[in-house]
Amino acid sequence: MRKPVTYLLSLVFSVILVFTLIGSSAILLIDINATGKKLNDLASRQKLDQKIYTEIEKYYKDKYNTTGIPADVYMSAINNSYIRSCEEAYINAAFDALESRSKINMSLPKNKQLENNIEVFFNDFAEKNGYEKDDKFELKLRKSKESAYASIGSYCDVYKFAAMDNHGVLSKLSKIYSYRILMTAAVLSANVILILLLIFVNRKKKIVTMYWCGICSLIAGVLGSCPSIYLLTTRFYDSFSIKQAAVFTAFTSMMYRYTEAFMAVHIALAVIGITLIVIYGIIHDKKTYPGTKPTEI
Amino acid sequence: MDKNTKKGNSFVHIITPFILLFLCIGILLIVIIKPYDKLKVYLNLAFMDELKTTPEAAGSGLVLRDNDIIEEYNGETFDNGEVIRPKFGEMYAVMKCSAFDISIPVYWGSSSELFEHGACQSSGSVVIGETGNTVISAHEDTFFSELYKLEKGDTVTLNTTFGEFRYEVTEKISFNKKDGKYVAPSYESKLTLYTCKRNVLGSADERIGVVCEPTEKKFYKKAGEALTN
Repeated sequence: MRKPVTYLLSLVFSVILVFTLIGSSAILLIDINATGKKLNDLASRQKLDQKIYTEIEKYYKDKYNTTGIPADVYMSAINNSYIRSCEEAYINAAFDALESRSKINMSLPKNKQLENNIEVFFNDFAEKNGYEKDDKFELKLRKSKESAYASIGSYCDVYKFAAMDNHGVLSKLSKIYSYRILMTAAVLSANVILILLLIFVNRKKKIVTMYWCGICSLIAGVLGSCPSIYLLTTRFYDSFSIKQAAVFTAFTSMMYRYTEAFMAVHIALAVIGITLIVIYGIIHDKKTYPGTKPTEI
Repeated sequence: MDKNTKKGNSFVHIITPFILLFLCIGILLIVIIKPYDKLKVYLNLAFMDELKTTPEAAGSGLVLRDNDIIEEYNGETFDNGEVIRPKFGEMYAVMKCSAFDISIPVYWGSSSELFEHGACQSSGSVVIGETGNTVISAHEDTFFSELYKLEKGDTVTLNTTFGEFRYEVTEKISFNKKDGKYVAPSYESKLTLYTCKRNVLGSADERIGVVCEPTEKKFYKKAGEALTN
């Protein structure tokens, strides 16, 4: 590191290497964790179905005042496994849309019992009140069924994919998501190229490359792990004002999981960095003073 | 001499990680500001629906109503038609323009709670499609975070429950919040979009925005025809 040009070039490549290391770990994490299966597993572990069931029940109880349809008409047809299947349908449809860079195209799983309950309620109501079962009746019945599916679906969409899709957010994410493999390959190649450049710049004393790679890995580890540790220790995501319990749990648990994974990778990077620096220190000292033995005491 | 060189070398070895750290932190801070703003907008858009179904929102007296806005209407359209006057807290339009890569919901009326949900149209201004000044505003850190990007000649599209309306940006404006010049009623049809001027040190009195002229009106129903939702 005696020549300033070598030093400056190494410093520039190292800065870039720090960011490519952070980038590659982030993209690898997205690759591994941002999949329909992982989100389905996470939702299932958090037992969101029970929370969703309670919310739907409360919604229909509140709505009884305006619609006159008792909550039991809907709730007797919904159970945790149906809610779970709706959750999965949303997650799978969203990831299909992300992969294919298109809009979400999905329909909730059919619930014959729900449709039957609504039909029975409408028919009983019409008979009791002498209401003629004309086209308007049929239209109202159809709209009630559609509305039931839409309301239940909106509660089951715990990651708010439908809202993201409606506002064009999902299409923006799909641009990144669909290129994730290409991006992974690109950042990994960039890492290799930068290390080769560091070797080239320090070709007269190749061992110095180990020092530069070590500090890059250490700094990348520190930059990635410090914010993650802060987010986790302060329970930062708990301060989000998401008022639906199921959505809150789903979103915060997903964020905590990603942050934990990000932190773990960066702590590993920091450890690798320290190890490389220590190895460099030992080898460098040996090369500087070959044949030196420790002083006998 | 050798001792001095070794000392200097050791110093460089020790100081280099710190130099690298400060360089990276500096670059990271500069690079992260914009994506952080965008992420905030996206999170707002994704989770803003939550407030509508909660008892707290009901307790505040605000009744939010969302409409299904038709964004791709295939039927016959008319140059003249009838507008539907929305109720306070009703989402009756969706805005799209070249500066925003997201579609922004437009609510009728303005209150701090409504501003959390989208852009708000002053109820003192005219409904989209009518003759007069249509004034729409939103927070600069969320829905109108990229309003400054709009330039003369850019197109703004407003899809409503009753038609699609296109405007062209004709003027970039900047005014004090006490100055009512741009938000006042007018005889000619125009669309005024504005937001706070970004001020890192605190709340801003300055407003920035654009004035647009209508270029295309597509009503879904003729004037006088029955309108159904």
